Amino acid sequence: MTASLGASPVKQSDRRKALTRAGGAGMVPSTFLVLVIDAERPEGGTARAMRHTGAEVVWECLTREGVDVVWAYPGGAALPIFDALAKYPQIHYVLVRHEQAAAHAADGYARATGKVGVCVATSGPGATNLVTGIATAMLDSVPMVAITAQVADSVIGTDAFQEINITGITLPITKHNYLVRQSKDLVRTMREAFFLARTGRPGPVLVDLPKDILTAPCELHYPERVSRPGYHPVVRAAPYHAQRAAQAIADAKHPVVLAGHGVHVATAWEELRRFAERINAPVVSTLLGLSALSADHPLCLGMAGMHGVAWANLAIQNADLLIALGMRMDDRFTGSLRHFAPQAKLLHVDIDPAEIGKRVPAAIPMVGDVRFVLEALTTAVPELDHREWLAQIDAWRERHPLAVHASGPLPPQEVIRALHKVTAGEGVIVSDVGQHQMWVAQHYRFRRLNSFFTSGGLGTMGYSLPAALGVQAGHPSQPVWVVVGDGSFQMNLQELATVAQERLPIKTVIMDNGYLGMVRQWQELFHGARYIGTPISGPDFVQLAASFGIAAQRVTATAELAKAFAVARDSGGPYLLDCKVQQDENVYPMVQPGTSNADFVEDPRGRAQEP
Amino acid sequence: MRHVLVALVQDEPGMLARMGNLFARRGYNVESFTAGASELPGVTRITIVVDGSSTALDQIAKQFRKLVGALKVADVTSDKDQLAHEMLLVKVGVTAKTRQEVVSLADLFKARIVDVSTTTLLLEATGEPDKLDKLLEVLRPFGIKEQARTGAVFIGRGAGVLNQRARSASDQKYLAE
Repeated sequence: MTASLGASPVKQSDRRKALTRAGGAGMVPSTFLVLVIDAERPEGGTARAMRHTGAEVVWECLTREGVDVVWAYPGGAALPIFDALAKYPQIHYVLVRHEQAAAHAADGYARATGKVGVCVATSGPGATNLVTGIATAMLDSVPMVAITAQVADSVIGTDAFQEINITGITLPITKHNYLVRQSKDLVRTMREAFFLARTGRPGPVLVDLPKDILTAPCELHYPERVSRPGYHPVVRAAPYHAQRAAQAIADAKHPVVLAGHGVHVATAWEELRRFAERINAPVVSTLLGLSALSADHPLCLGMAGMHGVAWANLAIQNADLLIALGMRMDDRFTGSLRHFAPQAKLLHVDIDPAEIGKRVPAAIPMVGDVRFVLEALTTAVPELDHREWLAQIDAWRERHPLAVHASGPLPPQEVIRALHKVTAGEGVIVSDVGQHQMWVAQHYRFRRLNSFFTSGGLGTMGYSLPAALGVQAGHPSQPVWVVVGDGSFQMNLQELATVAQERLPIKTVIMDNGYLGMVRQWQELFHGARYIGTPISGPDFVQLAASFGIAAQRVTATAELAKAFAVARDSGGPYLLDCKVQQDENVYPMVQPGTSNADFVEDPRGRAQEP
Repeated sequence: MRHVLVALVQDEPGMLARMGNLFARRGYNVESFTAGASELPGVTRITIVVDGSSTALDQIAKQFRKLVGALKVADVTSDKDQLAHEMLLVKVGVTAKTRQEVVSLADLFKARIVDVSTTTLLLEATGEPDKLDKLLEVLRPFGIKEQARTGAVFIGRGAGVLNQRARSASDQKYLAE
């Protein structure tokens, strides 16, 4: 497995080391921290002047950026890139079956490792097929470099075969993009692309390379440093704000910490735990903030929002202080803004100043990297005790437990619970988008840090299987579990071929209910149960898997789950479980659109059972 | 409310499209958008007059600052001590009878006559947008055949300058390349 991938596991400690090196230099002004990271790259700074083609220079640059795996799909304009690859055996190239999958795989790899994920596509349709994957990465702040080939510079603008203005198309969905028009700009552009993708608030960067630039001779002077005037992400928050924040925390009676994706991006898991323990405050997660704190931790409440657990929503609605860490107050999280956390003061920490005050006004804004801000706050606050507040939340948890009331042979929630059991909560989970995603968020108790990957902001159906290609490359030593609906699965099921070709031990769990379940749920609740466009048929998934050479079995009852999951886990290679779950099951609790998060609707069958 | 944003951006391909996208996305009505060389080599100075609430403009300014290549973005709406000037070129229809009257009006507004034909006068005027509005108003009865306005550019009075940061050594080095 490891050999076939060619990617080495990235240990968390390595990832931390890289960041510590950047932030550890206390004397360096924060605005220059990002430059230091790059200057200290072991392979950076070699100023060899050798004759290469542009295509070779692309791979040379990737090598210097530490890239050892790319997801790609060839094509006419991209031919020189692929031809040059023969000289770079250290880079593992994964042929996906659709360019969208290349982008999602690079995204999954980046989320799992913190490194920049790289995907390569040809001009025209190759480039446009990346678009959904790039947008997914943009909305979730994932560092990615997308390399697209372009028709020769001389014919740009003439509607040449497979010509499309991809920099124009991706302008609103990239952190930045480039069309390289001169060979002399190629190296600097590649350097900048990686620098921009991973620093500050990470995001996708696209580099469009005309075919003649790829074939022309190109000098390789890899710049030691990269600097963009005006681009100075703030890493450390101003001390003035830290003092105000510490005072607000000390004064709060009902504080709640909100952990967002930024905790993962900043690798601030330890800092989060220490901070929460010091101030003895409960931690609520956003969807992407799940697994920022072990679910076993007594202060971990789980996810809030539209399908959040009741006690997490009630904690927020009754809080007097919200400490938001690397999250953007998404509408699925806040519910109706007018009713959101009516008594709470907001202390908002984010590396992107534009997120602060965007949806909810912040009483105390702190622009900075979550890890550094938490370090500063933890030393600035006294040890606190909120046992009464925590007891209150426990009472809510007892009154509104997360129970399974479904009565059919295979309730979907039981599938997630079985997955939790078979992996002991330590699994690496990639979920798609829909009902099953919410059931994972509710019923899988993530004990392992940074172990949950899903498309949050864009809600991209079809994300999970291709993203798992990348997540698996980042976690070569253990299988990756894909949880996916039958609708989502059919959006990108061609990637089973990639799974088979790469012999990846990806375990696909299909929550097969014959519906586009989340939309069906909304039709049931808000559109008079008129199920238009949501019943969906599919192939026999077990036979389908077999046709790809992937072992599979069907599960139709709760009693079969434990054994089936154990077989999947213990099989050395890929495995597929087609779980025929109850068709009309709804996700509860649910906060209806436009209402307060305190007014969540609970499973009506639960109420009926109460005496 | 009418807001004025002044920005310094790097002069590079796509910059204009990036800025346009920013305003179009949220449906802001841009009254005027003026771009031209600044005192820094390779840096364009942009003046944007736009209508929107203060919170909306705050968000726009923040998003604008995030554009790679944006060096400085400032909302100068409430700056008291500043100069806002615009240039106007206007072609006014004249007859032998009315020509002298238009010339005296131009004089009154310190507008220059830059071209003359048998049936038109071409006037060039600069100044506060309000002043140019007034000039157009008094010319209207003679018949305005064509007009072109640049949109206002803003600059503060006194010794202060908009951007110190873009003059740092590293930035200058980058810009010199």
